Amino acid sequence: MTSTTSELEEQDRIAALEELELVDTPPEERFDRVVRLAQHLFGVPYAALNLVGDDRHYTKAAGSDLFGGAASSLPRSHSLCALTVQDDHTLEITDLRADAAFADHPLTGGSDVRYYAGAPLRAPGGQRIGSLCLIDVEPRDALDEREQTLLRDLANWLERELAIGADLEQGAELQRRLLPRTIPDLPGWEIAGRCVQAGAVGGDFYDWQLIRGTAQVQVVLADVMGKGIRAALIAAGVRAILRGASPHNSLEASITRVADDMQDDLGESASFVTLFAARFDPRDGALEYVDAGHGLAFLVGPDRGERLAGDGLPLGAVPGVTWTPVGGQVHPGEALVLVSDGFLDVHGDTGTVLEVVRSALATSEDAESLAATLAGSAVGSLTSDDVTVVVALRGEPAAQSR
Amino acid sequence: MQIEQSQRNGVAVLTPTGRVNMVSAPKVKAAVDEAVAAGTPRVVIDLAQVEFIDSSGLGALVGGLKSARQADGDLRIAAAGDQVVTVLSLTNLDRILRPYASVEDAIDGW
Repeated sequence: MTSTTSELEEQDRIAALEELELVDTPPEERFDRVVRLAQHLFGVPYAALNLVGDDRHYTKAAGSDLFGGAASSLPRSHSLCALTVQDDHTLEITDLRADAAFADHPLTGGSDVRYYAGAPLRAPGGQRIGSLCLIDVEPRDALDEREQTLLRDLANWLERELAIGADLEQGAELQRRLLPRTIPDLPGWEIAGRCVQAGAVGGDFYDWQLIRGTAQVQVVLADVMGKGIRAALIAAGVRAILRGASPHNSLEASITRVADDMQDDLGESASFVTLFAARFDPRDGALEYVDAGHGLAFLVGPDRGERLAGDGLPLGAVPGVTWTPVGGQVHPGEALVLVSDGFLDVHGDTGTVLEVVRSALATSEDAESLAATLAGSAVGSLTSDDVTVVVALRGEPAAQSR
Repeated sequence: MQIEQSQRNGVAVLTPTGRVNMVSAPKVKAAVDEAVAAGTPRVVIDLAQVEFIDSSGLGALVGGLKSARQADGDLRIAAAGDQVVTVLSLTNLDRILRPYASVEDAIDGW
């Protein structure tokens, strides 16, 4: 390899490419459209987005099939884009066969490539991980200054798309990490949760915890308005403050604490958080809950189906709000079910959601299958939202004494 | 999204059309901020032409309400359709964004 980059830089470059998780993935319209546009604007028969790995380049997007269609690979020894990534500048070869520097290149005699221009593409960390390239079967004049700028602009656009993908992936990972990893062992009760992420990063999360010092268990489902990293970060803040405050405070005081502490973050971004939080005593099923504008919590059982509505405002909507808990009771065989607003997109209104929850309970053997059934009923094309479910199911007395 | 703007009795009336979602919500919020900055912190949003609102849209209304109140004004909503009323009631936001039947009702007695 006649590389001018050091081994370490090359390792860093490969790591950055792998982090993007784009090699060997299917074509994506967000890249295809830029490449098509490049091919059209420059009037070449072939343009491509190639990602240069250690032994080959992978064509993530191609404007035609002339020199390797989308999702194909070319050995690195044959790749001109592999040379492009060695330098910050656009690599341009106006006539491959007439250029002495490329006399021995495999493509010079072994392909129809005559003209090549490649603009390096940088990962978010600056590593050159690929190239936007133009290829013609005829020699061409060198790009003038205006054309150079245009090619660089298109390359910058692709870099943004590369970075957004990485952003979303990190955000999705952040969101996943907000979810509880263990399920408390509660005699006579089963707890289950599901969060099926939509394409974009959302602000949904659920949580549960044992409240030290009391016998109570707290379950929460929250939805931060908006999407993306910002929503995920606010969700992380809400979760952390609520987890920290709950063991030492009443339910209402804990929620007030979250609202107070998050007020600046929420105010600054004109955002708010809807949240449903409940505490129950597993010994007798005594329940208290606060509905802060969430609206989609249900108490269902063989003889009961009701929505647990409250009049609390979402957190961050206006300052100086208080929340008053409402009491209730979970009887044996009944379940407390919290779902996210994606269910409303799918099922239309709260009455229908309640019916869906009730019939899912009737056909489910345990909390896990109830959560899975409910998530399955909402995931699909009808909502672009995350689909989140939390179930706390109190077993029948027979099951409890087992 | 088109947002018509007019003034009645010193109240800014904004009339957005279509769906208020992640894409268009920032425009609604910006229009409210503009009206507030222009010295009319009393704002009515006429929702008669809005067929759908999502959580980002609610965020724009709440954000607009905050801006207006910070300037000692207020924000009222008028002529909301079924979907908007349902979402406002589900989130309990109708407590601070009470839907008025019409722009006239919203302005009346302000």
